[in-house]
Amino acid sequence: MVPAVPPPVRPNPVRAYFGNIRRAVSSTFEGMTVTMSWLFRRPSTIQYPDRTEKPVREMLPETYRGLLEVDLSRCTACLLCAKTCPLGCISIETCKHPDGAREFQTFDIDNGLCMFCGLCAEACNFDALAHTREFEASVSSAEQLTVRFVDRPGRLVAKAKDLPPRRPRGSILAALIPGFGRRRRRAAPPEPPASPAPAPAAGAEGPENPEGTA
Amino acid sequence: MTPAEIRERVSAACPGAVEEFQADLLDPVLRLRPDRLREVCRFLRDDPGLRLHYLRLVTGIDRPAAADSETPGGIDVVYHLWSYELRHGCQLRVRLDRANPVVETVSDLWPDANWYERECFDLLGVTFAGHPGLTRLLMPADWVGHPLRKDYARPERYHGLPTSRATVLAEGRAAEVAPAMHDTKAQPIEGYLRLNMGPHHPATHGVINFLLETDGEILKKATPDVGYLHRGIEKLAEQVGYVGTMPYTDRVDYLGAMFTNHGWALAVEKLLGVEVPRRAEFCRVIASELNRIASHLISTGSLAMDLGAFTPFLHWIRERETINDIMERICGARLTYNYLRFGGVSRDIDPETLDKIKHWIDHFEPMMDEFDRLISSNEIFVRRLAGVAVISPADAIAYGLVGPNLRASGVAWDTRRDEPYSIYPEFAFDVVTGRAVHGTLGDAYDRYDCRLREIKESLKILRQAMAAIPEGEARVKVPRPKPAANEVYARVEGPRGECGFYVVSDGTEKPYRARFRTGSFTAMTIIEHLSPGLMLADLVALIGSLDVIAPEIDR
Amino acid sequence: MNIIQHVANLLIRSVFHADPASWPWTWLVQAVVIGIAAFLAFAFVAIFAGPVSWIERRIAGRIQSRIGPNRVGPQGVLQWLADGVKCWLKEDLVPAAADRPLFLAAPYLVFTGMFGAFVVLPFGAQVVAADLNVGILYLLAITSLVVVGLLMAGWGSNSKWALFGGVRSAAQLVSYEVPSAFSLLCVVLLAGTLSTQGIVAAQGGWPWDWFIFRNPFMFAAFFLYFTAAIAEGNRTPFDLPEAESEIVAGYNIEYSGMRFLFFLFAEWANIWIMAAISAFAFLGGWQIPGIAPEQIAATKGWEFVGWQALSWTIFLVKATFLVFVVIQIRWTLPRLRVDQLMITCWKYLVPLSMLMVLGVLVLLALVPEGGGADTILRGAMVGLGLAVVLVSALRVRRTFRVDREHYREMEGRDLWYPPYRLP
Ligand code: SF4
Ligand code: SF4
Repeated sequence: MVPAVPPPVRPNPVRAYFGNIRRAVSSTFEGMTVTMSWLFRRPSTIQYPDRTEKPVREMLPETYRGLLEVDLSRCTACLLCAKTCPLGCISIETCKHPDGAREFQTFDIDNGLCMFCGLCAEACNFDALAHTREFEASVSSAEQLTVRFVDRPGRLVAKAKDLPPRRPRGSILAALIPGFGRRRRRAAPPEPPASPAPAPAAGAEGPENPEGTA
Repeated sequence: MTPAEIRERVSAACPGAVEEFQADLLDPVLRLRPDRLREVCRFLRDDPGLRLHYLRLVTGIDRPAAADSETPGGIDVVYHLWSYELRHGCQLRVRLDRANPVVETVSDLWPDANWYERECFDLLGVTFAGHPGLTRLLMPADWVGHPLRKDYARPERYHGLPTSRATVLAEGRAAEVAPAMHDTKAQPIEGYLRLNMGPHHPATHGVINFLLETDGEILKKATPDVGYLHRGIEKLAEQVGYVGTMPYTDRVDYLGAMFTNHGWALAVEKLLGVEVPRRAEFCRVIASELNRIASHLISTGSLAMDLGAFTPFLHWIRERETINDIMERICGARLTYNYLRFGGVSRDIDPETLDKIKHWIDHFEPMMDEFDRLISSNEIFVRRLAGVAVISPADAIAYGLVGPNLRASGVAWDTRRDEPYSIYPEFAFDVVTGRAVHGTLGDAYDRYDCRLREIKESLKILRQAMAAIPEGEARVKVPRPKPAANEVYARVEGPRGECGFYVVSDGTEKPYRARFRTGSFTAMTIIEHLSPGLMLADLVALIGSLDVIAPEIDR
Repeated sequence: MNIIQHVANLLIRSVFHADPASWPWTWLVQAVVIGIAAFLAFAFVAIFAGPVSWIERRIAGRIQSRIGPNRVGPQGVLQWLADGVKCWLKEDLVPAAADRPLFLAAPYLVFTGMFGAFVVLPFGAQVVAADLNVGILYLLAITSLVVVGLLMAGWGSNSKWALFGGVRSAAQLVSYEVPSAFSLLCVVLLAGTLSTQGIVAAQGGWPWDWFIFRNPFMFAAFFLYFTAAIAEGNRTPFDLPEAESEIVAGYNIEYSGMRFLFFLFAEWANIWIMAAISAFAFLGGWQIPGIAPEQIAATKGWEFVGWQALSWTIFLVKATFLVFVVIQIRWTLPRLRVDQLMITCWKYLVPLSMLMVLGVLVLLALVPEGGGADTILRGAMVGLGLAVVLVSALRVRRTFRVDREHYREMEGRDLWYPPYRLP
């Protein structure tokens, strides 16, 4: 297991001298042929943000854990997500109407705190809370990092029995934060020939929330 | 030899030293009398039938007296020992008085105990009598209190700087902040030039400070000063619980998050006694080996960059980018994977992703030859590493080096093969060891070479795993973990070597104490020992070849 | 008659209608013309250092599978201008504890050393600012001025890292003067003159007339000179004075703004200078194949200008090719250690370059120029040169082809992306 250390061998000095020169020259030559070959190979970088074939968001896989978004029309305010979050960056408040219906007061996610671990989205049983592929999250002040999903008063908490279909991912965030993640882009580079035209931003024109007042 | 047999021998050799043998724990523990500790340790290390030359971990657990019980509280100091030759190990423990915890040092028996004891002193306030330089390790020298004590209260401010996020947000930019003056934690030597290499230095791989005493280009001594990235993840683990800690383990080793994930999952699964479905094990192995390759790419590439060759680094970054893309498909993130769950993985790997991995391997294998031509066989590169900072096998074990650093010194030990976990025994792969490529065993080139060859082994495992992946569930539902009081030490073979998780549970949803044993921590301890006589540029090569990662040291 | 006198005479004849040979103010006109030439050369240095920096960054980008700067101006050609303006507008910081005069003066001294070299570079058949009869000596002397500047910067900054850089550069530059001087001595022996134009004139337009292919010793001397010159220019693998991963940025760590730019200026100008020296000393300089310098000198009017331009272009092409090689070396090799740097110089380059001087001397005595043996030697050396080019081209091709299929499978695109395709 623990080997004996072999004694170092001393080579013939003359051979070592010329061997050094030979190896220095040949290995430098080899290295330079490699670097030279790269002048003929395709660069692997893309020109983010404005000269990509399509928005980077659309290059990401569906599984990507980007900014969180909640579809309040499916949220039952079960608080599982808020309890699961190790950092406590989700804050949910509801109030009860006299007729028994519950109404959202707040549903805030603090992106300044969130570490995009995905535990909360996993905990949500109603596919209300999910990660989008949105990642360009810079804003101009720390307060704006908190995304407030309750956009108007009187939004009722959903019932687990009849949930509307999940709105397309990203559409809620896009509607909530105008101009979010949509940068000015120049023409895509000429390559590759068979590339499809840049698709519109994911769900950019997602339907304005029709329900929720029910 | 089992812990029980070791206990027999200890009792025979040092009668009366063992106070208690806690055999009911998952990893049985010998509780010793504090005043007999050194005697027992020396026996364990030197006895030809035991040969516990490797001190895996020293750590402390604060156990204040419960309000309702009469048993007095105390501070436990735990020692994990292991023998590579005889493949056995044992855990020791001493219980100290909480008001005045003093125990004798073992840093002269196992040199890596030096830093472990400093950390223990720093975070728990245990005094190690006879320690050569018992100063704080992770916290600033003028910090008040010992954060891992259960009754510790965080100060509101440190030199005027608010310590909580809420205060920072409320105050905006602090009006007046007294600069925090850190003691340099090492005395200058008369007649030498004191040079601060770091904390922001391109070659230190993160925020680490090296205090150099130099005579021109030649070093008299290099003392690492760490703690700049200390975030108290172990303390956090005590607060956020078993489930919540998983994403935090990503941040322990940002280049090998899959392994810290895996270690944590193993530890908790052991505590819970959960079985993992086979497909999940395969997913774990595939993701882990990809991650290992990615980490080794960074490590070998940045070593080349430290030596002045920028191009190889960027080529490896490019290859890693493909791995990152694959990881993104597998688990949704490029770096902080948070992929493993107790009882499986968060998502199954789809066939398309497996295809992508296969294509990438086909492309990558010839790339390794190209990399060899570009840099590994380059004469300047070879000369910069060959014969530099040689670590003998005995030193490597005594200083607790693990992983490629240990194997480069010729010690053939790979947790995947020798203390098997997951489904690694099903795969055929070699444990690569240093082969003295350029004359000296255990030099910086050997460490570099070992990493490159390990990539090839990982590719082998990947191919086998992808061929054999079974159908089935990738996760079993595990209720919110609430393990009974127990202790466990789980380890995986990470890219920086043994990545161990010592977890003490107490029957709640939160671990009572968690200690992450990382490869970089011990790798740092050997730098001070190796540095005398090195040149400034050699130190850069040494740090790069040890592949230290700052957050792994500081946690 | 060099171009300065040419222009001065022309001026005197056409403007003052006097005979330059007997006119009393001839010297004054010549001085003015020299002044203008110096200004033009200065502008040239500035104009040249900038694009070299752009070329370097683009090439480095492609070597590293990146794109490189391509946003300022078409394909980023004006990037250097943007960077220059940026640096110019930045604050010129002087550390409180610095030795002010030394700190402030150092960049200019470094730059002067580099700039001074341009004076004797033979750009074209008649284009040289001053054809000194001690040209080579002057070159060696003026470029060592840089050492003083770097030491001043290192010491004046009052920073330990800068001091390390300054001391390293002093040791390095002084050492590497020796092999570079010895290698150039081989050239001087063959040319029989120290004048830079004389050296070019002693060669010819065709490769077998170049000094590098004269005999094996000259072939080796070229590479020795090239290596030593890279070291003198602080380029990788000899960039120890500014090794970013060891001593951060060495002597220029405390500099900012325009002063910092002057260091970079000097570095890029220096690449060009060393390439130019190698080009005129070993690769035939501006010599046009098939036409002798005398024939060019005998031409008049536009024909003269045309030949001048052609010779200039040839020189620029050769030098730029060498600039490219330097850049490629930089992005291929790692850095030496300090002791290895000294070993390379004193144990390898110095004895070998001395050997080359001896060898050249012996061959001068044994092989008369123009004889049969000389022809065979030259032919063999040109063949060797061609072989090197061919072998590297084949290696490059092989390296490329190994990856091509796998890349297509992985990315669904072709790997081929030649350098002229600019993204
Ligand atoms: S992603 Fe993680 S950190 Fe962010 S809100 Fe969800 S659970 Fe909390
Ligand atoms: S988002 Fe999901 S987990 Fe969170 S409260 Fe709504 S339904 Fe519950």
